[in-house]
Amino acid sequence: MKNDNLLNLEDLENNPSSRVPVCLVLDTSGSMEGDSINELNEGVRLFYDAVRSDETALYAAEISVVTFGGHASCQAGFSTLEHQSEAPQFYAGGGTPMGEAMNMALDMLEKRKGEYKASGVDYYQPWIVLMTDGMPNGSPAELSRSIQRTCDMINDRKLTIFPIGIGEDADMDVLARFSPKRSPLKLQGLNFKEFFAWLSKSVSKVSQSTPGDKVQLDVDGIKGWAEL
Amino acid sequence: MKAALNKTAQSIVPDRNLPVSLVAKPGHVLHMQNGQYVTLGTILGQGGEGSVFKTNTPYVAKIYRPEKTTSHKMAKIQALLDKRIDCPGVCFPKAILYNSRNEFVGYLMGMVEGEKVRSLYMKPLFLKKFPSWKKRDLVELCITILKKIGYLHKNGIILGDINPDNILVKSPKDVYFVDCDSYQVDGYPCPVGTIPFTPPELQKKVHYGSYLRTVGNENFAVAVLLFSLMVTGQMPYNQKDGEGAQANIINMDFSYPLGDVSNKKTPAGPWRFLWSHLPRFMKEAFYNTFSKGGCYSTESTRLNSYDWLKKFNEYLRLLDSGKYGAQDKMSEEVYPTRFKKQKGVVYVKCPQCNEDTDEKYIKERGICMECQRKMRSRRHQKSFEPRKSSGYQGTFGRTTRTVSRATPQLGLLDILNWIF
Ligand SMILES: Nc1ncnc2c1ncn2[C@@H]1O[C@H](COP(=O)(O)OP(=O)(O)OP(=O)(O)O)[C@@H](O)[C@H]1O
Ligand SMILES: [Zn+2]
Repeated sequence: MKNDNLLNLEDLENNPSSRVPVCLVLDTSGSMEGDSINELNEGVRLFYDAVRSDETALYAAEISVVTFGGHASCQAGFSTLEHQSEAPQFYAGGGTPMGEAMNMALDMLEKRKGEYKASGVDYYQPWIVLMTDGMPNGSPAELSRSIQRTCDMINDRKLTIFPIGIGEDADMDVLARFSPKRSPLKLQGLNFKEFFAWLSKSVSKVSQSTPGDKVQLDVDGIKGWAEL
Repeated sequence: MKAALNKTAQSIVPDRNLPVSLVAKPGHVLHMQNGQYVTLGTILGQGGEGSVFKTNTPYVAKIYRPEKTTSHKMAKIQALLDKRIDCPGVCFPKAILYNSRNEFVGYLMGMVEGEKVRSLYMKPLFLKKFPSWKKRDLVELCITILKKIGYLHKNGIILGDINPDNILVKSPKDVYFVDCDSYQVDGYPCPVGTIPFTPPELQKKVHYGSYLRTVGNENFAVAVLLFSLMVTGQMPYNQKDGEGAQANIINMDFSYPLGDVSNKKTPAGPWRFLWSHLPRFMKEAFYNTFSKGGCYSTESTRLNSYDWLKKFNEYLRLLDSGKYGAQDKMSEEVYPTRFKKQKGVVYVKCPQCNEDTDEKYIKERGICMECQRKMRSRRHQKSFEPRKSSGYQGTFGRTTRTVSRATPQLGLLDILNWIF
């Protein structure tokens, strides 16, 4: 971890490409056990492969992963995939501390943005992908704090969030509270692969643009993974 | 006729959509005004405005999405055709294309090859795509680009949206300009643009398509492009611990030093070395273009492509004659790893990194300035190690890597190294 951190700072010095920070905040609680966690693992692996195979995204997208299953845990800190080895592997278990995980993601984001600024590296509006199949059951105070922080950033146009519910028991209302501008979407069945393929394409598209540009996301492509 | 070529934006009727009722697909037969036919082949690429198809001719066809076929697009393509100009590598429209229902769908153009300038901005990609390049190749690339831009300007065409995705590089002499259908021609504005290439006087305008650009406006974009190629991958207004690019452009807060003037915000990393190795007359040109109050810093005083061309020709002459390398061989490399050597200074190897470094500095500190800096930032980083996992509170201080700040322990030699 210590060396990673140093490497991530040195990377900012050596690679001045504008960064696309993306944080995956993923539910790995006990209820994800079975097909869900397997498909999620497969989807994230595919996402890593797709970003890695795009020459521009490889040096521009910084991917981080936070999971919540029992406790909030950072599985990968913000860095380009040039400096990450394999996609992290997740195991299902424990409760659903969503607020704690979102706060962790937001903290990591703040820290990394500070590093971008300190090094003179430009960045695009960051993305958080929040996926859950259940209901948050961590600290209510942490949950409302994370919702407030997220909404403030979105309203200041400092963040884009993609909240996605998995299965029948996903708490779409809480996802909606994280997302003042667009409704949360529900994943079609276990179409994680389709979702992550779409996400990687969107990341590639953004990394081919210039910070401040409006990027048109592939709306048609959403039909491949969301219940609309 | 002459008057028609000089229409102002006001006298042009507003843009409107020209409906298309047939979605173009491989195999479709399209025709040109002169009655010739072309058949669409496979899709080469897709962009925001449409797709580019191979055809049964040596040319490719850009076919717009139905909502992007507008009266301005068509008029502009016609205007470019009417100019009957030809510039190798510039993918001008060759003919307007219509579908079987006689609806305007796109245009025919030459096929391009090469890598986007964007891939030159990323060191690992640059090294992969152009492993043999030296500084002279970058300088020659700038010359090639400047000649094309100068030619377009001379013919009354403003590119408008100069950016790293619209220029492709095959070799220093072989360069392609794409997206010519967005050029500003004949009073039709260029509807697109990006912040880093937009001059301060236009930053506050809302809509790129709502005004006409001048050559003076565009000369800013030209200078940004040249800077980003010479300080390979950096933008002039990216800065350490500073504001965002847009605010810096508006304030003309240029991040690189000239002589002993500096805003002390040069990005960390090797970029200072790339800047340092430029000849003094190039630094002066960039500095005076990008700094507030500089003698080339306004719309009417900016250097134009021919002014730059003279400077780049001189730079190339210095490099190719070996004169420039005689002072410091490293100046011939794309990515120098230390500052340029100065006359009258004795250089010895740094015991830590083995780079040539000022003897006085080694006597004072034992290691070179860069090693010293790395150690400082490493120490600094240590004190900001994040705590892990659930106990995470997220109150990290901003890590700042100060190099240029005049901290008390910064010696005279640091400063000297900085300013040249
Ligand atoms: N002259 C050409 N020869 C060969 N391929 C081309 C040519 N012009 C464009 N392409 C390919 O087609 C793709 C889309 O073209 P282009 O970028 O012009 O479309 P666009 O809709 O203007 O895109 P953007 O949204 O980037 O402006 C390009 O990425 C490139 O791969
Ligand atoms: Zn050293």
